[in-house]
Amino acid sequence: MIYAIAYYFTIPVAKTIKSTLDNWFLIIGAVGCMLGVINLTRIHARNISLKRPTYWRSILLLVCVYVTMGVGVFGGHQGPGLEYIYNNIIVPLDGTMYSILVFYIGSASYRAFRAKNFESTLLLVAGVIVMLGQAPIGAVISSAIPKASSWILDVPNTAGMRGIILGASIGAVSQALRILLGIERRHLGGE
Amino acid sequence: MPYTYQCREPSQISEHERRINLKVIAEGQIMAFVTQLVFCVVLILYINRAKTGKKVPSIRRVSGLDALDEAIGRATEMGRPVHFSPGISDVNEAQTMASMAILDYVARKCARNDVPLIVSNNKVLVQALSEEIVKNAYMVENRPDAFNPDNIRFLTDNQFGYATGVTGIMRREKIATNIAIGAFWAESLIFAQTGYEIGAVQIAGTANTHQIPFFVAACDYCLIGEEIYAASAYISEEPVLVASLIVADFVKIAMIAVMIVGSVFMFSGSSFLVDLLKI
Repeated sequence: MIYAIAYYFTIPVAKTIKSTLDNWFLIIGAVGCMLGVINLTRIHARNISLKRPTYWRSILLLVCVYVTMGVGVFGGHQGPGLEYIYNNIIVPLDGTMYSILVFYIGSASYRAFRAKNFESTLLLVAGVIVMLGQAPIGAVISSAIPKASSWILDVPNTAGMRGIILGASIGAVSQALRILLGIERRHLGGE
Repeated sequence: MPYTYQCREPSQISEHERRINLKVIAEGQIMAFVTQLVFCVVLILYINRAKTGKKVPSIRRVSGLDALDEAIGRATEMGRPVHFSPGISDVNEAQTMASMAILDYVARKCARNDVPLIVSNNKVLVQALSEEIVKNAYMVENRPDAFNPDNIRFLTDNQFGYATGVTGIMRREKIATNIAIGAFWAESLIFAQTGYEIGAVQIAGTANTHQIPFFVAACDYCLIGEEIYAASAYISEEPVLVASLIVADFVKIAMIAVMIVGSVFMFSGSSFLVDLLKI
């Protein structure tokens, strides 16, 4: 409610309270980070103590967690040690996972683009036109392909997306009001 | 906090500044506030109507939510775990809160059927919340002994680190059912494809429009946009909650009407409605 008041009204007190609550959220999140470390340590320490089949992975994980934490604590959060770990381990690993998406997209689109009925045939035709329109070969085949591709993206695609966004936004507001009015309690374990 | 004071003659204050200083409602938010207020009033009226036992219109079936029981039943028959991912947003995201409501239902079903439930989290506050929800669900179902806190796992708050962790869990634990409902970004397809490869029944849902096609392509059931917010009302079938969905539908119809009228105004060369909405 305070957030709603601070959003709609120019009341300085509401804005100050909102700013304080924002800070609280950040502090709770930062302290909560320790909960995550404790959870990880508890689960993986148990894996190691019970010598479960892949316990060596748990050893590796805990070593990585605590070495990174140690480097950050003793070398500073902007120190060369943490920067080295970030640039040479985290960034390449992130890039690797992201690049795997190419193969997943290929595999998922192969399944989605099978012309089994009218809808999937329509999807296949639209997909082929959009793909050709985005690649240089599309314009070489026909100048109409890039135009058709742009039309599909700008008109039916945008209309559909906006419809979903509109519905989702109203749904989110409806849920927020249910929570504010106390009739929605499932996230608190209620009925 | 240091304060700065500035003294100016009234003649130096512009008309625009004078108007802003006098306004209680933030500039450009009047119509949004009025709309929100009307939404709120209609919602309260409709909830009261439902509370007095008056008939509330029924809502359409959502196959993704109907399939939850079937998917958990399959995991029960196979004797393999159910995996739940609430997305990678924090508790201040509406989609995460909707996901928590579904987690409560899934956890109760799993406790009743004695199926292990693994929840993988990306945010520590979501971890704390989901642990409490699952623990409470097992208590409500009189199965506190079956609750395993090690199955509510915080992996990392790094997006692709989380994706790697989840795919590892899905493969190692040989899950029978994968439920991924919440706010997802690029990791959505990584989860959905991994689930497909290991033969899990998959129910996914998000309101992030750019990820919906991936879930539609790779999952058995997909909750699209607003359907994830409707889950709590749909599952419980409580008239009061269902009434809130009906009101949301009324607002949607009103919005569509405003769009149509606005289009007519714009085609006729008048920006009256656009200007009105900008107040």
